[in-house]
Amino acid sequence: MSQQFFKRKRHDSSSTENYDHLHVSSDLKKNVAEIMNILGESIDVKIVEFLEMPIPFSICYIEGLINKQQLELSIIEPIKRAQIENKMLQPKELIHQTEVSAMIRPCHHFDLIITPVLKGQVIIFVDGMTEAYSIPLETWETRGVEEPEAQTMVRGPREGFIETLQTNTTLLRRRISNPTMRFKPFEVGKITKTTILVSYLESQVDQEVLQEVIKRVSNLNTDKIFESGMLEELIDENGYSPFPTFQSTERPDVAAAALSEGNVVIMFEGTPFVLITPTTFISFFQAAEDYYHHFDLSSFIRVIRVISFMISLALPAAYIAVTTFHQELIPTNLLVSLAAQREGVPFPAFVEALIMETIFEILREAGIRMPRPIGSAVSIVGAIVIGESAVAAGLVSPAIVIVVSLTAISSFVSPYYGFSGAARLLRFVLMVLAATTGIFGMIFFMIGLLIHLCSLTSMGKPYFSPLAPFQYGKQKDSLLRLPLWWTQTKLHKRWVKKS
Amino acid sequence: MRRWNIVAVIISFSLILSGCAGRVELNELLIVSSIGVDYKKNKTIVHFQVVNPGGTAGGQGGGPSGGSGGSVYTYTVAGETLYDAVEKGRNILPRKLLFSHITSVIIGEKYARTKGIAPLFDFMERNHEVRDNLIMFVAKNSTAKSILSIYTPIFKNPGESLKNRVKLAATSTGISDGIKEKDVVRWRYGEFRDPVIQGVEIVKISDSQSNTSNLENINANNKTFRITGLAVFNKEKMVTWLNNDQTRGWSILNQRVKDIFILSHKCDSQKGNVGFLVKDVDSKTMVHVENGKLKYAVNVKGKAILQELTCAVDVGNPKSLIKMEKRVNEELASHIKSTVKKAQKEKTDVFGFGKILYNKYPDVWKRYKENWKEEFSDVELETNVSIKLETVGARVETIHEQK
Repeated sequence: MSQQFFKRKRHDSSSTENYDHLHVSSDLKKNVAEIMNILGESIDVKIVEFLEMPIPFSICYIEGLINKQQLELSIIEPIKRAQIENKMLQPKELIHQTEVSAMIRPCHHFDLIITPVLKGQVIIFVDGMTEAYSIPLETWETRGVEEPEAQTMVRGPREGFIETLQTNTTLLRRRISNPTMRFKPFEVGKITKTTILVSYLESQVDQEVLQEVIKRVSNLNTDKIFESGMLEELIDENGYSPFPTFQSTERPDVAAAALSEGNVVIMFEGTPFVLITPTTFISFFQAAEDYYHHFDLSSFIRVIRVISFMISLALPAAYIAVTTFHQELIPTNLLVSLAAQREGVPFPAFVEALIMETIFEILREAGIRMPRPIGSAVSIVGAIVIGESAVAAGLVSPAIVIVVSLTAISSFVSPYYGFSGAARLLRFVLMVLAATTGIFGMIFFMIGLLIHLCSLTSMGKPYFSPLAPFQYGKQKDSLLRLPLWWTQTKLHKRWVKKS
Repeated sequence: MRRWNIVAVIISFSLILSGCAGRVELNELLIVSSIGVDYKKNKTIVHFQVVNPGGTAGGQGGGPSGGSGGSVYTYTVAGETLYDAVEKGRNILPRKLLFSHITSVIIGEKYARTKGIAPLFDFMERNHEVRDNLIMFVAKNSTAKSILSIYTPIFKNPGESLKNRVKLAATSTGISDGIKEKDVVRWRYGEFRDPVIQGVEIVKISDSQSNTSNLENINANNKTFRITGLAVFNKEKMVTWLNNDQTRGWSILNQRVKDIFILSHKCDSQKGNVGFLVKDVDSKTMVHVENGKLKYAVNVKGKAILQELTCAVDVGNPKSLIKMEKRVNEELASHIKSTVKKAQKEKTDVFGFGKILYNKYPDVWKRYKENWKEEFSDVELETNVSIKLETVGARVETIHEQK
């Protein structure tokens, strides 16, 4: 039973079709009919036929994906003019009359026609030719480069990645003018045929990691993929672990820094989030801003982040364990005042904590999902429910409100949203253990957690490094951010040697 | 997959089987802040002073039932032994007792004199909740019950008040952190010395002190207790009290002093007093055998700060300062001597002189061991006190010196 449940679903490939066997015919009408047949009667599929010309030709494109003005001026107009001016023009010379700077590719099979046209290329069929031509004229509506919303910072560039790959590559190129920068395209998803770019610096990258990424991306067997999160889950080697083994960022400076350190960045058409791999546990405590501020402040903030991770993971559990099993650990006066607060509270501390945590999770989810205009209503209700009424109604004690709200605030400290999710889920497991076996159970869980973290790998690299395996040299930039002049990054060394 | 199933089974079984054993919610507990022990008709009467959280936190608690009543209550249970009383207490106590936060154990003088302290310690050492750093007291001239029946002002918890009092009283008694349970156990069951326990007495006996209404009376002396000198035990049973000066002598000999206040009455043959705060007191006791007799020598070093001068002494003159130093030295030496004399009279080695002898001359100790109490009462003591006057404070001349 469980075997079947856990078995990964195999995707059947019947949904995708193959046009390999379809050759471009010399009969223009036949080709057009074939295109109509494949793409169907869609309003955005445009087929413009010029049958009355000396050499009849037709043009096929998808409305909205191409630059129509350019199509008009540099393709249709020149071809028409050439035909009128030169009556002796041969069909195969026709295509050379176009005035586009892009590369024109001849295609013989429909296989090479359908995908390009769907990606925004213009296809020209010429009567009497057994090949069609695809001309790249892609332009579509894009959002401007704006400040990232999920990863904000005080000091640092205000640019964020957008949904268009081309813009994103530009943002990276502008930051790293290095000749060894590579963007390697892959197509994933049998239905969606989404473009992803595996980018790296040839001079810096760990070839082992690069080969691993390429292997995983090209072996990907999926139908549809819309966001880098889906890709992350599909090519992750530790699928069941709550800890992310990819770092997703929408900040070009973070991606550029990762590239320069020899990591691989996977970019994705249609989402501003790119994936950085291999990544380490400690890198989720490191924000890009750390390097822009003075090192002492940054080190301090990193320590704060680690503390808040521990708080968001273990504080409610510690509260439960200490108040229900280890009362001797609480200072006497605090114990008396906690006991006073608990007078008349009907539930055990565990249930109390569970109620408050659940209320908070509901509020958080509502806060993210609800339409903006009703946001204030939810926050008012939430503040009253959590802060005042639950205590006044005698459901919970005031101390647990502090514990839960501190936990909630701490969970937002991590610069990477996905990472705090791990602490958020494990918190509940830890609470159950604390309620049944006290601090003993918590210690057991923590040991298990450490073992798990040490066993994780990200693209074959140890996840918990540089702490375990311990690398002395890398401590300069792990838990603390020591002065930059101490840290000779790999990139820096190479440039110094070269010059 | 099979591995995961096994792990899941193990985890769920261990969680279910452990089943929250040992779990106690805070509102199922009675926090015991002090324990009192009295003797009555061959029975052990045990008083549990428990904290009433609602009463103590007074309004800051959030529960709808709020809190009311006094900050502490004292339950009294009679039993054969201490633990017997604890067990019998289950019949009258509303909740489970929590012993982890006991600050003090108070023994009635009668109990200490007739029954001795030994019956208390096995339970206190064996129970995992009772701490070994709780402070022990003997209720001087009264019962533990009467000490535990006082509501104290300022501190809502009398146990806490008592604990704090010990620290504050250190300038007069010299014992800065009290006599802990672990000290007493070590002395009582160790080979070399006899235990002492600090005394506590009620300042003034009045009828109204047992209820909270006395807190509304401005006269605070009605409802407080005083830390007194040490109760000396002959291993087992209490034999006598040391007075305040002797208590200081004890604490100097035992290196327990942080700061003590010395008031000298002799002020250069004039009427008046001179007061010093002596700090950084360090003492070292040495023993040597002279003509087959044991001779002990105590060297005391320290610094004095002039606190008060009510007679005309020329403080600016080094000679008079040296005289003052001498006064302090004499004063301290007399404390020490009087303490030792008292202890010798009772034949109780409360200073660990036996231990000093054992450390230096193990062979001699073997000889004296059998009859140490007698030998102890015969040893000679020599005191060398050298306190240096460090500062005369913010003023040089006394106001009496104006010409």
